[in-house]
Formats: sequence, C-alpha cells, structure tokens
Amino acid sequence: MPPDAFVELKKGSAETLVLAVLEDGPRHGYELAKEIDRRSAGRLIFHVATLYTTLYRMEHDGLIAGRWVEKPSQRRRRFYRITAAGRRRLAAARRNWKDFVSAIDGVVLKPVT
Amino acid sequence: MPAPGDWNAAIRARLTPLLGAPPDAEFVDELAAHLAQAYDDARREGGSEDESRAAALRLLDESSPWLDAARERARRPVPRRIREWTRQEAPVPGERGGSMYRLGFMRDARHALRMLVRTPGFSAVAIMTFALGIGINAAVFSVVNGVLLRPLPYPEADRITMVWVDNTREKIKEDINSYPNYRDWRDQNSSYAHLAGYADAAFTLTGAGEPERLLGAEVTTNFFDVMGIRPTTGRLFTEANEIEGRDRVIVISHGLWQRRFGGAADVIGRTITLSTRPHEIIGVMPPEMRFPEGAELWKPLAPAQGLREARGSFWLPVIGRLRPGVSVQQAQTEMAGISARIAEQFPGNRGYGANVVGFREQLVGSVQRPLAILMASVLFVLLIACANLANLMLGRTAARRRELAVRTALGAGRARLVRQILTESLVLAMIGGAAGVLLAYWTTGFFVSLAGDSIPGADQIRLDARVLLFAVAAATVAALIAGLLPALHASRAAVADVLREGGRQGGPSGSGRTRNVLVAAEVALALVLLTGAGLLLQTLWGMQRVDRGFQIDRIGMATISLPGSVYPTPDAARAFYARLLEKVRAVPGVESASLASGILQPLLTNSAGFAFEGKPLPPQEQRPEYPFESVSPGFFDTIGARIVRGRGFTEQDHARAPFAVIVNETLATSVWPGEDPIGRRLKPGDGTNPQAPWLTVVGVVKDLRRADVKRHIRPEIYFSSLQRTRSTQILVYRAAGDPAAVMPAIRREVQQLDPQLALFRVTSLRAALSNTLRQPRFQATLLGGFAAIALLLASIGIYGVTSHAVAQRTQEVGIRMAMGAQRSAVRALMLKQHVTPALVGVAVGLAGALALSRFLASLLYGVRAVDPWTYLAVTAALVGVAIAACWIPASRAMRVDPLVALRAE
Repeated sequence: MPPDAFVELKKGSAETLVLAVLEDGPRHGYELAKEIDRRSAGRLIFHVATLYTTLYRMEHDGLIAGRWVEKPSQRRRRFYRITAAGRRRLAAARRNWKDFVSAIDGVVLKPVT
Repeated sequence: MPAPGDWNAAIRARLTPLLGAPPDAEFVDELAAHLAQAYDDARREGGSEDESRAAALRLLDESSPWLDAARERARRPVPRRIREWTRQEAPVPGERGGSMYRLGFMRDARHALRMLVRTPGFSAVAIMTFALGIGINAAVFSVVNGVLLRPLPYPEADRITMVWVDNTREKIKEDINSYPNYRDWRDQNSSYAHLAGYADAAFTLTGAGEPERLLGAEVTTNFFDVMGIRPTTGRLFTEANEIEGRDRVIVISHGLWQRRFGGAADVIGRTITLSTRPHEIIGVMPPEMRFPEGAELWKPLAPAQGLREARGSFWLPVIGRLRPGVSVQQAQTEMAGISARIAEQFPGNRGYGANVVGFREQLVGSVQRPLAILMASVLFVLLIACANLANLMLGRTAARRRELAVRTALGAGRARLVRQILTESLVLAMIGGAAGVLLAYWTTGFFVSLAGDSIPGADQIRLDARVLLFAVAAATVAALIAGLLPALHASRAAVADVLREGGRQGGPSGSGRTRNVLVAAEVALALVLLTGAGLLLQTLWGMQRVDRGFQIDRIGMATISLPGSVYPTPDAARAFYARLLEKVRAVPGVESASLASGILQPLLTNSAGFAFEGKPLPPQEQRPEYPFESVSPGFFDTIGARIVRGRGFTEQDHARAPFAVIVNETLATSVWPGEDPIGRRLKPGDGTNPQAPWLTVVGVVKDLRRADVKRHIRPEIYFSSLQRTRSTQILVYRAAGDPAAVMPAIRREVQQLDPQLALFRVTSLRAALSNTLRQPRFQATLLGGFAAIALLLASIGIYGVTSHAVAQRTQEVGIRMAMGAQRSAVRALMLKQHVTPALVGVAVGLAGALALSRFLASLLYGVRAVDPWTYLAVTAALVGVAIAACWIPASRAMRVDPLVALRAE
C-alpha cells in the first residue's frame, strides 16, 4: 500500500504512535519522527508542522511533557516524555487498536468459503 | 555544518515572508534543532553540503500544516505558557550577554517603537492622551506633595500640637485661651514637654528709610523649645524677658536678616526701632522657621499685669510639644480634664474645654478634603483617558489581527502577545509621561498662582523626585490599564479563523462588548466628575453673586496703627484720626472716607456678652457672645451699606454723648422679634455692673456678609469710633475710579501728619474679598477644567467607538435599506443599540455621583449636593454627546448607496 493511503489512518493514530515511541524514553521531535519512520519502515512520515501540531496538542492534553535540555557544545533541544496520563491513554489505545484490527480483520479478511 | 545560528536565520528567512511576520524565537529554536539533525543525517548518508542543506530546508516547504501547529500552540494552558515565558531568563548560547527576559523586553520595546513610527497618527493621539492624563495628575500630585506630604521643617514635628479652647458656648472648636488658663494648662499637665503661648503682632520698623510694617509674634520664652528650632546666630530669650520692660529684645527671621540687614554678621546686638521703641536683636532664626506664617520677628510675650490675671480675656493661642511616647489622644484626655477642673474652680470658664489638634493637621487640615477631591478627579480623568486609549488600542489590534495571528501561528504564546502589546502600551505611556511631566511643570505654576494663599505652604510646591516617581508610576499603571484589555483580546483571537477570513472583519470576537463596557465606564466617570464640577461652579457663582449688603467696587482699605507712646490717650488718637479723615477726604479722587476697627477682616473681630434691657439673661454657659466693632460716622455710607431703621452714626455720637450703637438685622429680629429695636438698651456683661454704661440702639443696618459668605450671619453690634476709639484702625475710602490710584496721595498725607507711621495691608475691597474666594475658585476652576477635559475625552471616546461600530454595520444598513427599511427606523435602531452603553454609564455614574456627593457637601454653598438640576443638566449633556456621536456616523452610513455597500462585501 502506498504511503499516501496511510494519510487518514495516520491522522487517527498519530497520538498513539508518539506515545508508543516515547514509552521507551524521552526523545526530541526529530528522534521521534525518525523512530516512527524507522519502525514503520519508511511508510509513516510526518510533516514537521504536523508532528509539532500533534506534540503541542498532546502536551496541552497532559499526555506528554516537554522541557528544554541544553548540553555543552550542542544546540538546545526540547525533549518530550510520556506522562502517567499518557501511559494510561497508550494502554487504552493499544486495547482499542487490537479490538479494531481484530474487527477489521473479521470483516475484511474473511476466509473465502 | 552551518553555524548554530544559521538554521534559525534560514527558518526566519523562509517563514517570515510566508507568514507575514517573524516567527517566535522558541518555535524557531525547536525547528532549527530539527533541521540541524536532518542535515547531519543527510550528510552522513553521503549528501553534499548543499544537497543536505536543501533537503533539510525542504521540510519547511509546505505551508498549510503550520496553521494547525499554530492552533495547537495557541491552545496551550496559561500556566505552562507563563512558565515557559519566565524560563526564558536562562542565558541562551548565541545571544550576547544578559537575560532573555531583558533581551525580550528590549526586543519588544524596539518592535513597539517601530510600530509607533509606522502609525504616526495613532501614536500622536495616544501620546497626547497619555501626556494629558499623566501631566495633570503629576501637577495635582505636586500640589498634594508640597502641601500634604512634605515633611514639616521642625524636628519630630509629629510631637507638636495646637491646644485650642473647645468653646461649646459658641460652638467654636478652635478658640484661643486666656493667659491664666494657659498658665494652668502649662503647670498642671504631664503630657507636654513644653507648652507655649504666642500672639500675632505687627510692628512698624522705623529709623532707616520709609517706615515698614513687619509681621511677627510675641511668644512665651519656651516657644522655640516647642518648635525645636535654635537660632543660627545669637541666642534665645530667657524667662527674665517675659517681664514688661525687659522684653525689648527680638529674634529675627532669616528672610528679614537677609532683606533688611544684608545678612550682616554683626547684626547681633544691633538696636532697631519697632513701633517707636528700641529693640535689641539677639538672634537670627534659620530659614525653616516659618511659624506663625508670615512672621519676620519674634519678641518675648510680656503681658501687662491686667492681662496676666484676666481669666475671661481670651487672646492667646497655645502650642505644645508632647513628651516622647504621649499620643494626641492622651494629651486630649488630660487637657480636657484640666479644663474641667478650671471650670469648676472658675465658673466663668464653664463651656470651655480643650481641643488638641496635631500640628500638621492644623496647618493643612482644611485643604485635605479639597485636595483629595482634586486628586480623585484627576485620577478620573486619567481613567477616562485610559478607557479612550484602550479603545484606540482595541481598534489598532483589530487592524493588526493578521500580524498577531501569524505571530501566534509561529508559536508566540498568549503571554508573549500580551507582553508585546503591553510593551507597546508602556512605550507610549512613557513617552506620554515624559511629555506629561513637561506639561505638569507648566501647569504647576498656574496651580500655585491660582491657589495663592488659600493653600498653606503653596510656596513649597514644585516638581521633585517624588513627583517624577509618581509620574512614572502613573504612566506604568495607565499603560497596564489601557493595554491589558486590548492585549487579552488580541491574544484570545481565534487565530486560524482570523487567517482564513483574511483579516476582513473589524475586530476580535467580544471586542464590541468590551468597547461598550469602556464607553459605559467613560460616561460614568465623566458624569461623576461633571456633577462635582457643576456643583462647585454653582457654589462659586453663588458666592460671587451673593448680596453682601455693601458695595464692593471702588473701595480701598489700608490699616494704620498708632503707637501708644506717641498717642497715649483716646483723645490723642481721636484727634489724629479726625485730621487724617479730613486730609484723606480732601484728596482728589476720594469720594468718601471713614474708619473701622476691623469690620472687613474677621480675624480682628471682637466679641463680648451683652445683657438686653427687659430681656431675661440666659444661663451663663448658654450666654452668647456678640461680635462688635467700632466704625466712624459715615462708614456705612462709604461702603454703601443700608441703614434699614433709625439712623447711622453722626459727629454727635462723640465721647461725651450717651453711648449709641447700631445693630444688624439679625440681632434686631432675634432679640426684639416683632418689636421696634430703636431706643432699646443693652449693656456689656451680664447687666449687673453699675459702672458699665447703657448703650442705646439708634439704628439697624442691613446684614453685612463679610469675608466668608458661607458662614451664617451672626448678630452684630457697631459702636461709634468717636466713643470707642482703637489705636489700630482701617482707613476705608471710596474712590471715584481705581482706589489704588489715589493711594500715593493718601500715603503722602499720612507722612505729612506723622512720618513715623506706616500704612499697611493696603488693598482694595474687591481684592480682599476675592482672596476669600480663592479656595473655592481654585477648586471650581480646577475641577471645572478637569471636567471639561473629561467631557472632551469621553466625547471623543464615545464618538470613536460608535463611529467604528456603525461603520462596521454599513453592509447591514445597505441590506436593510435595500429591503425597504425607512431611514428613520434604521437610525432609531442604530441609536437604540449604540446609545444604550452610554445610558448604562449614566445610570452607574448617577449612582456614583450620589454616593460621592457627601464628600463634596462641605465645600458647597447655596446648592445641595444632590441638586437635581445639576444632575439633570449633566445627564442631558452626556446623553446628547452619545446621541450626536451615534447620529453622525449613522447618517453617514445611510447615505451610502445600498448597492455599493453590498458590493463592498
């Protein structure tokens, strides 16, 4: 399936994707994008503005928290980490996702009789 | 790899034209980190420097997703945004020194200045409005500062108090005392470290050049201990100087020392002639010694034996320095107790208590309320100015919605926008404040000249550091008030909607409501101010037009005092005054001349108890005292007063004739109601003294309203100056033209009669009475001026808001007209909707004015604080302004062709 076809699905799943990646540890925006890219084998790519839209909304909703980190001789970066609320949301999203996929599978991938 | 700052610059360069404004710094930082990482990765994958850089920058190419990012950014909760805002205080690599906060402020200020230069019309109006509001506030504050806040020049001045007699018989709270009573107060109290008496005195200085009248005081020898002031040169009095004959020593003021003696170092020990007697100068006071006001020299108080013992002779004001730790209230309690004991011991003292008043309150108490009212009124003007500015800025931020929305889109948080707009407001206020200080510099001089001597310490009024600090504080607060609402509105705007609209609509949602609230507030404030000004102007008008019972124009006055050493007997004084009147009447340009002992100067008024033949004597503590004066034959004619019954004094009422008196109408009707007072008799005291002569009423004069027209007219008695001669008299004359024009000739006549005499307190009756109106004129002029400014500002504000709101509805008007609506109906609709906020303001203002009216009541005369006509007139004026402000733009909108209005949309 070409990546363009993922657009609608990606919109509905962006939050879950970000939470899933941040579950492993704090990351800055670029790392997040790369990790999603890597894990999806290049099929899920966020535009920078879209990524930050998602990040800001999630921060607003308290699912993630951002903070500026400054290291010697490095550009300062804003790292995001998952919050407790984010973890709860991720767990629920995983359950829903499994149910949803199962339901879709049940309909779309019905065995040929 | 590009330097760290390059990515930021590249992002700004790419996004600024796309979005119409520079992106937010934090947002750029985060994006820059992203692009830098993308660049690194591209390089690692083998891309050239240019290719990698282009690949990274391509991430910015799509423009539409930024709007969503902006929307999310705008939704972030306030506390977090504020936290992040304050977190900017951390130093940032690449920025040169200082904190981000400071750098941010400077950047905002620079941006604000650029915006102001770009909109010179708006900036000029805003700066002028701020300058006006802050300027008059600073000017009035300089008066308050100089008069009320300035520390008194005496050490530990809060320990100094006046101790007055509380005269319950005549309801005079601050009456003066007798010497024996003062002595008892001084000896029996434990509250005061020093309790002194002093009496105003005037001396004629002769011996070198033209005689000069000097004001001074006769003081008990501990007077300077009370004031806490020591001489800069020489010494003070000793107790021995309090004995008659040993009192010919004086301490002079710094001013007199400089003016008359050129600051000579050897002035101590010099002998000068005061009122024909030689006096030795023993000390010079420092410049700060200015009590009693106007005193240029101090002399020991050495009362004659009679006065030392006369408990019923009240002539001595008393001032004291409290012991450390003793409060005014404690002193009050003790002094009241001592007074009660004195009254028990001496029944003549019944009805005389004690009233302790702090020195500062004594000096400035009478002007505290008027100044507080003026200060409040200029604050009202400032608030109205702020409301206008808030309206202006609302309009301006509406015009800048697109710019602000883009700033938000690029990550500027709400607090960031609020800060930017507040900074702009602050920059305007500071420039306006600086102009306001200049304005205050000029207006303060005007205020001081207007106040004259109606305000104590007016000579101390100037722009000092405290006034400047006040101006800065006022500018800051004004900037916050004027800028906060527009800032909050701008920051709350629905960013994405705004951008989609392309900034076509006039203002952010809710700004109409805010503007209505501002209009209502302006009207309410202006109504309160106009009502107060209206009442005070009516007071002044009434006081100027009141029938005083005598003529004011063309009357001149001058005081003359005969030294007892040269004119030791009443006959000698009478002979001198007779010659004086003869000479003055012969001066060309003088129509009439006569003498009075103090009739037009209430401070010189004498009073005493009288018994009326055939009338019961009230109990002693309720027995009234009647003011009395001596006037020469022809006096009432000279001043144009009318004898309503009987006759005036004639030369026949001389020293050897039966005592004749003239009473005023109030006395005649209160003592002999419904009876003919002519021929009735009265006697000084309680009527039992066989030595006291009976006085026969020969005439009734129309009531004379003296200096203070606010006071109730008291019953008054006039003696013939031929029968009761005083050494000090006021020469009163009526001139054919300007009374000042004949004064040189009168002076020459006096010099020819006696070269040792000096005329002093030379003035015209109009000027003397005008002085008594100075305070009401000062209040009414200033409040009237402030009210006029308030009305102007409110009118501009209402017009601006209504005009803008109606202009916004041009399309609606066009549709209504196209649908066949009548002009009158549309206009009525517009009026109803846009005049309503003003009506709400009127209602609130009326309630406020009624609530505040009691503060004004004590300053009014001849008009009630709730005078319905004033309220009606002010309400009508403001509603008229509101209707006019709506009518003009509504008419303009209706003149637009409906098709044109529709096409415009």
